[in-house]
Amino acid sequence: MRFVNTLAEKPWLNPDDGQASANYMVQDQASINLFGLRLLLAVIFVVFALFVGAYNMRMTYGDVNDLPMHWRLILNTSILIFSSLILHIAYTGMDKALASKQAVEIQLQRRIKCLYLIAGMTALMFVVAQITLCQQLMNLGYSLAANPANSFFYLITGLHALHIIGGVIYWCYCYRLCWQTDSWKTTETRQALHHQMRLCANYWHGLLLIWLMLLSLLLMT
Amino acid sequence: MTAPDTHSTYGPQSFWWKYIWSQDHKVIAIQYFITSLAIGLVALVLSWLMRIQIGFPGALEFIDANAYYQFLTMHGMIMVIYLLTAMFLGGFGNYLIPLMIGARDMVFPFLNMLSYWLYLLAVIILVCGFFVPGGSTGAGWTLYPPQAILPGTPGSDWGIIFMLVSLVTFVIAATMGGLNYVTTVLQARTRGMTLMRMPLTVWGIFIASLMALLAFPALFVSGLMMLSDKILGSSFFMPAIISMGQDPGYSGGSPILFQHLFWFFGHPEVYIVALPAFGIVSDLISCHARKGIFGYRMMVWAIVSIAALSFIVWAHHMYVSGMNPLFGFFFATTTLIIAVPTAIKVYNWTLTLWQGDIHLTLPMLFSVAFISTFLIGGLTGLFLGNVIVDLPLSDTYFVVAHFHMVMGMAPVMVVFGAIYHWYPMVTGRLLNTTLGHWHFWVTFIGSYAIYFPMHYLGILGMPRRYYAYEDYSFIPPSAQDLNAFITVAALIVGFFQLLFLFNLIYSFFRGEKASANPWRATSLEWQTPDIPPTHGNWGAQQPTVYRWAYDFNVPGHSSDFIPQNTPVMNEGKDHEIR
Repeated sequence: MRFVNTLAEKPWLNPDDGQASANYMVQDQASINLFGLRLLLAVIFVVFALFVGAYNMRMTYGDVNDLPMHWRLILNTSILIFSSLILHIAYTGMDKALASKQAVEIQLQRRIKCLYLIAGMTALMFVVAQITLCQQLMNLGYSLAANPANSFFYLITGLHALHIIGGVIYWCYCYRLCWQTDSWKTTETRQALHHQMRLCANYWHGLLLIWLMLLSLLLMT
Repeated sequence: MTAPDTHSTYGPQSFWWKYIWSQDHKVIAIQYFITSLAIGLVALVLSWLMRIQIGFPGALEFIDANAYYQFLTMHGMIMVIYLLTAMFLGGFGNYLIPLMIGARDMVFPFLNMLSYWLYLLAVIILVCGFFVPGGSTGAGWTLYPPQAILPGTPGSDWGIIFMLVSLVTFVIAATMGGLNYVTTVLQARTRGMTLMRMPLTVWGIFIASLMALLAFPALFVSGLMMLSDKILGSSFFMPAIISMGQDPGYSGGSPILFQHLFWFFGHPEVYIVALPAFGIVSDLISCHARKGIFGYRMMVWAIVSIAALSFIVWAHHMYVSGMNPLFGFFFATTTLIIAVPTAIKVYNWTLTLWQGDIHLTLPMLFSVAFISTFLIGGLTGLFLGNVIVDLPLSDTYFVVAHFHMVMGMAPVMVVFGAIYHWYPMVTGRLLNTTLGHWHFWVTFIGSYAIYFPMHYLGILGMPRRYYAYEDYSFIPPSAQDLNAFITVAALIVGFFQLLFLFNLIYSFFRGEKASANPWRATSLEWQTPDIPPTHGNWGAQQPTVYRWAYDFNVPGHSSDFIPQNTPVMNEGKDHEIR
């Protein structure tokens, strides 16, 4: 609605005397980054949505075999959910650290670092679990070229895992920040760390949602 | 809204950081321009070679059927993706968005730099395709399976792989660029620059970037799936088939699925190129006719509606592939509906010219040429949008003429007009006008000389994508004369593009020095403290915007234009009256 209202403006009628600048809000780099990340997630979502569309269209041909991996997929998914949850807890823990006017307690720092480490490791664990699942399927004779369901499965999970790995690389950067003593010293540095963790958590949650969409597709067809 | 003022970060840098690994949007834009022009030159030469074969069959011995299809494929792909898309979004988008909205740079400068280098990598991979065993792919720019990856099609071993890898790389580069353009427009506008005060150039590029973010994934997905079919032996698009007496081992894939994915990208792609052209030409016409754009709000709505509608018309490229008649009806209807906002734009350009103080400068000449070529190309699009007319005309030269007029010549006219308009801002010098007039008249008349006869050839039934046209009883011998005429025209027009390139280089060193705002334009890019603008664009303080970008010949003003950053001086009533 806001967009429609914007499009209804008549700019030729209202040259102003600085009114617009009076209402001017400085967009900080943090919110710009967050906006950019959400836009990126939207694009990634479109990529996978197109895979879903193609998958549905291809599955109507009747030559599709089911893959025997439902319980493993659910197990792997639970690892990803756990990872996302832990990262969220770590990020909300940073909220507390941010509110602190004084130096952040060592105990809180340790807790956040520990949670952050677990989140990254479990995300890696998810990738490894997906790879071993694929290997297991290959050993059972479900090769990529044997059936369209296999082809889609390998391509979709592979591409999703690549995105997770991209996230893990960014996580490494954040984790390095987390371990730097300077990151906890002042409100500004804590804010910067908080911002990085927020971006990381957003990306994690976004990829989890996309994976849940893919999982429901794989389980339902 | 704008990013914090960080002028101090835009200090002088070393040569490498300033011109090669630059994060300055203007340098990146020029890098995009140079690369796209270079690869465009390759496509131009390929078109000459194709036309020589058609006009004078056998004149060049090295052009056999395989080479012809390779030239055809590479010409199409380069023109659509690596020249026009890259130039409009990467070139004009990069240069103009931050300047026109009063920002210091793109919001993610590093990503912007990465986007260019990935684009360059995509171009290099594409060019490498010429030199791999078997040469580049000759599958046609649509790359339809199964023929694209089966033996018998030129470049089906390595050429197609290089093409697909290049396309996937390009999509990643375009996504990085698109994220930057959209975020910059929405998050980094300067004080007072509301969305509805943005020049239409920015609107066009902004919406085209959004479309690119939604449409390019389809190319990415189809590219990955075809790569998998080719390299890993999957059967996404490959049906059970016997090829050259052999069973390649595919089964049950759907070539139609590829067509859907490809055209879900392919049709919006037309508008990804067209919308920036629409925006730019609106600004050129308004500025050089010294008159506010007619129906600004309608123009914005038209851009937005064209973008939305363009996602539900894709299957009009697939009428001959066969579909439920109801789908045919649906896609024909949506195709005709999209003509409405497009027609609004054409009317508004014409009405802007009406009673304007028209200056027949080169940008204006090219703008008028754009309206003309776009109108002709658009009208033949109405023919082809109808199923019953499309079926007999499909795969004939009528289609070739249509899309070259509407998507080839029309946007290219805007590219030229825009370069003549903004060249002084980029270099501080004007392009040579005499050379420019030669360039314009030959290009404009030449484009009609090339493409008008093609409509006739298409109606005669002359099929496209044929290497030779001998012994076809339904094609009269006179068609060959027409083909020879088209070839001569194409060679002349092509030569005059080289003259344009010469002008670009010559004027850079010897061109007449331009004043700070030689066209007396209102938009922000001409109001920077330095022309050409330096890194950071705005000196110590970013500008504040007080008005829209089309205040030309405002009653009660001595000057015939008021820049966007000029405060109001007791003139509200004048505006209200208008």
